[in-house]
Amino acid sequence: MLQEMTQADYRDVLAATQAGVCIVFKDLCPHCANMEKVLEKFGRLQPGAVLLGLDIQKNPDAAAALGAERAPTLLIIRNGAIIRKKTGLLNPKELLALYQEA
Amino acid sequence: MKPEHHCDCLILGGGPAGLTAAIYAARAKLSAVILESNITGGLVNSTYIVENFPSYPSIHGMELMRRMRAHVDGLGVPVEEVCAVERLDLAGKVKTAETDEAVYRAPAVILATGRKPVALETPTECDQVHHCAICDGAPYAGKRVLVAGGGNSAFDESLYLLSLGVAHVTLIEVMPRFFAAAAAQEALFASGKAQGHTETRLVDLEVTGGRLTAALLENTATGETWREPVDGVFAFLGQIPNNALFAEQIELTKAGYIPAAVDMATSLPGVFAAGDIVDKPFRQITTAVADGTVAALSAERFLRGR
Repeated sequence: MLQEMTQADYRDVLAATQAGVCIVFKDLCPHCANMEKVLEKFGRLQPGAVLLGLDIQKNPDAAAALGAERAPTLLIIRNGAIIRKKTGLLNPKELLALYQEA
Repeated sequence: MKPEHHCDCLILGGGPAGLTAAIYAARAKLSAVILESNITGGLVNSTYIVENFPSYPSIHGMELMRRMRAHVDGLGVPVEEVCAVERLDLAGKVKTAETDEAVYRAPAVILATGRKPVALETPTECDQVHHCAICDGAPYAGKRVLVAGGGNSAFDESLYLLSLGVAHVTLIEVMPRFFAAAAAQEALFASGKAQGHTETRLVDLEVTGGRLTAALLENTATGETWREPVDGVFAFLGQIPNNALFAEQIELTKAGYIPAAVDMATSLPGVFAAGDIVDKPFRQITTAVADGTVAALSAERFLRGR
């Protein structure tokens, strides 16, 4: 469900995203696993949103370039640009509100 | 109108107790549903290495819980994760749990909601305060951190932080001694990269340019205060019971735990308890699993005897 980006393609993928959310995650991070489930629910509430993922361990330079120091970090994307960043846990309703307010 | 689901047994909580209860319920041919506010696994998910669960001499907590979850999935028990229970009614013969998406009704309920970590509260807030070394430890390689807490979690996670390359750990405990297992204490202090202070509390954090630069500490016995240069703080201050959903409906101890009978029955007929939410002396994965077993078998007996 999440489109996973890599160091090689993250710039192009983000630039091509009109509206969406990217989660910067880490394997074996329980909060990240939690947020991936939250994103699944969010995807049902907001079917037009593109859902992206970036593994911070496999792609540290990309994560640093996006200003994501910790996992999970959520990035709200509009017209190819990151317009909001939020670190930590949210529930689906909170994520929806953040997305709609951004 | 939310969809309604009817089953034999509702299980609130998807940690070791809830997952084990689901396995036993399924094997007893009861229809059961697990409702979990986060993801299944509970606090075990945040445990770096589990070394006292029989059959796995050493296993990552999240991996252990993935295997337990796969067992439940294999038995076909529905699991609703990231599920907000907005209303829980435990009175009467049919109990009701209303979530953000559906209404669940069942004659038996197993409360396995566990505990949650105590948050670190300081006058100054900053992004460099963490509650999970697995999640947030890596950026502190080569840096100094403060660990608040003196139990097994604090020592185990400190050792994990050192394994990530953290340069130095300062451990503080408000009580007069550390409570972690002796082996863990020996291992940490033998590293030469850790220093411990008992009867010490965190007074405040010093933040410069948005980054944590130091922790202000106080020895509660002598009143001495000092500035400890650190780049991050990790808090492992114990846990409190997750009882908000049913605190007004069921008998609890003063500390907020459920006083369960030997068959895990609670003060309400048809309502059973299991795991860390139960009032008991030892909270381990194995004791949670045992509680889940007993609670499910008791629920089966209750349902068959109606």
